[in-house]
Amino acid sequence: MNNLKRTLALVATLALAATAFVGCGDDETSSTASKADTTSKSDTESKEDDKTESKEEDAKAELTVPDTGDVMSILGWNATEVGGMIDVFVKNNKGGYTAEQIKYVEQGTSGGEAAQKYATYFSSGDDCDLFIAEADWILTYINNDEYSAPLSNLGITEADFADAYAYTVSIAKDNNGVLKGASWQAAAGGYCYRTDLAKDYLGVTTPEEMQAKVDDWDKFMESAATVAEASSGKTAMTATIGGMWQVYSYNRDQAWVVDNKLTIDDSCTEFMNICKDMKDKGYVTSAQQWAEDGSWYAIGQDDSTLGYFFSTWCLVDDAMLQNASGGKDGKTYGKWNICVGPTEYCWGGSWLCLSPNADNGSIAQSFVKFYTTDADTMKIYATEKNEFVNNKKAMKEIVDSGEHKNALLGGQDQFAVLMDAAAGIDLEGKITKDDSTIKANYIEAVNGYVDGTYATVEDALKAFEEATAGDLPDLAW
Amino acid sequence: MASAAQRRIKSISYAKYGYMFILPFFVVYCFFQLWPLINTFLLSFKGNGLNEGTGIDFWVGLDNYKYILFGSDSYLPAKSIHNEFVLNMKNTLLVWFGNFIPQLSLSLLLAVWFTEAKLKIPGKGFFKVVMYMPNIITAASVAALCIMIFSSNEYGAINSLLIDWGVIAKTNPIKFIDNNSVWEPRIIVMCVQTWMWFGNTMIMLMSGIMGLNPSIFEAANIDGANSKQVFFRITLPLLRPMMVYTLITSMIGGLQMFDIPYLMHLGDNVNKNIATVAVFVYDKFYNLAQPKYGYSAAASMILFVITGALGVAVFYMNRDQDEIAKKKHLKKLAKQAKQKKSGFGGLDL
Repeated sequence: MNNLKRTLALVATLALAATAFVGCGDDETSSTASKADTTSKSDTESKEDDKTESKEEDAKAELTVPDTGDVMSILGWNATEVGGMIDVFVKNNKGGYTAEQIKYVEQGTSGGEAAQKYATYFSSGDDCDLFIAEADWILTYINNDEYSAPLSNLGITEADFADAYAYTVSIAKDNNGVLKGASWQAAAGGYCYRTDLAKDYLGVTTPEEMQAKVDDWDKFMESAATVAEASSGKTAMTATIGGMWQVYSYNRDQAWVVDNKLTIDDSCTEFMNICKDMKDKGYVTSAQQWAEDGSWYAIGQDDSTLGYFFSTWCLVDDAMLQNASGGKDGKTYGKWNICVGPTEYCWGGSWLCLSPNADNGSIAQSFVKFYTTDADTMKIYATEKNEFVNNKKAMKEIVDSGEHKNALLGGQDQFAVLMDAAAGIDLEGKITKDDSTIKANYIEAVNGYVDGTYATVEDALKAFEEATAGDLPDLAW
Repeated sequence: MASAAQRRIKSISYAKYGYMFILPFFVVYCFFQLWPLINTFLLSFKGNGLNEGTGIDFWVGLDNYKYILFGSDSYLPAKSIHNEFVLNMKNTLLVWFGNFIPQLSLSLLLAVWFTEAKLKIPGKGFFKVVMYMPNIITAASVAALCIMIFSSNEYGAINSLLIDWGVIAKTNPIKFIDNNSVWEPRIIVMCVQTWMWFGNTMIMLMSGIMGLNPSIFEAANIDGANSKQVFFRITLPLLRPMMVYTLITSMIGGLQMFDIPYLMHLGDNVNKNIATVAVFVYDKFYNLAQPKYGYSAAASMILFVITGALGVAVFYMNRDQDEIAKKKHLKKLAKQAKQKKSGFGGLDL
């Protein structure tokens, strides 16, 4: 009897303790762990897989990711966009994959937030096959073998991207030149403006006429003055300072970090002055991008702003421009047009990256190919969701056919406008792994200067430098 | 003399079953509390970032403490960390004082009203529930609500009301929670914290008041004391232990305040003017760009020392003076008695 009691007590104890440990996972695989371990692990894995997995014929690289999982997980931060991608894939894929086999895992609501959350998610050991990374911080992830695996594991090589925009391929290579990401979009941007307001205040009726009004920064400011005067200060020329910086910064010649040192050049100073001037004159609203209070979108409906600087991914269905119109039945839906703006620029862009722990090789391969290498399926996505896909051939066909119309833009085909801009995108040597941190600090400093928190540009830049020093101690200070 | 049977019964110890049952707690405690605590202490002597020699895998001695507490004129990251920590400490104390004082006065007032037998307040139960309610809502929802209400542009609830009433111009909305605003967000956080916690404090004080001996209050009534005298001369002094308890728990909670200050910001960066030390610890720890476990751990050790010191100080200041005097007196008497004894060679005359 005593023995029984003892055993029972022991079992109860162990059971309690065991439940407490469920979910511990292996905590040690955070960024601190050595990279060598995982590399060697994935190497041996792929070697083993070589023997067991069936080989695709006539392919230079083989699919070495196993098919042991049941559901493919994609990590991202934009439910509507990725959800839309999954829908289109399910409807049109040739492998017969169903919606049940693909799961979207949301990590935060903005790219910056996702960048932080991914690392935590990966170290938790939860299922992940593909994840989406943004230009601002993709280098952090693709240069860490614990987080990402080469695309060749999916049987996809650089040769498959002959029709892709070159910059999307060069960015997605890690320090050793291994291709680790594939982008489904070319992120050229333009200036989206309200057609009705433009007609009232500037007297323009076509995107070509509008382009003439905003052809360079001087003309842009002139038009801003005209709009402010005609609307008696009610309507600003553009929405946010953050959005303007995307356009402005594209023409910087330097990356944020050169030789492990933060570069603060004249363009930083200049931009602060421009912003202060614009804010004082009411050419830019006080809304902030990605702010939780929804102001960024509200200004698209109450005539507070004539336009936004938007990149291609903002023009996709259910994305930023649609939100700014108030949705499909919104007040300003269809009352937009796009033109190139003061300069051609590119903003962001997202890449599909492969997790080293992927266990749904076939679906992942099919998904990545569907969106990044197969011109036919990319064309389907481009026309259905209004996305500027990363395939010159597909885009040219769509533009040449002249059939594509975006209801959001009142029937205008944004692809025709953005085509040239996309062709000219060159980000070689301009992006660094810490861009998102540095950019956020810079924009905060700009806002501080515009608000009057910092009396001079020097103070603002000093605050920016100090904040960045605290965030990034590894740079040379 | 005990019989053999009695002796045997005595030798059976049930204590070991007790130990077995409390074992799970200690096992879990060691893994999830004790080890992290020790590890935090160790981490506070390690570096930041990923560089060779100064990164998170390398011992850097007391550098983290030095940088956080004293900064450095030549090394910019240290200066930045120092300034940030000092600002965060200031925010923590400001926001805590700003919410503790109104919170305690409000809860005390309400607690006295609700326990006063002479006042016949209708719907007492309803009010108690309603006042406790904010404490049940998760901080995340409260923060989201605040962001919507106090939005910094002309579309926020408060701002658009003020614009409609003509108090402020449309082009000049009040920047309640902008990342560069200083006092507006602080005051909002103080109010939110007060609103969230006064119900909780009120319930605690009420239980304290109800635990007091009613005959004292009756005696006071018979002697003709008015309610002011009853409050200041009876309720408040007798409530002292409860007040000390409230003060200490609130202080610990206040110094570790995290959720509302962390969540109430626009955009990607936390608002540095309301960021508390706990936010500093979190922010430095969860930083993908370059992990700063060293700063994070050192800051939490500093916070621990400060909390401990303040706790002891409050405890000492609020000791019962009469009790101390009584103890002193007893000690003195004992000493005198002893002296007396030894004075006569141990002979009690």
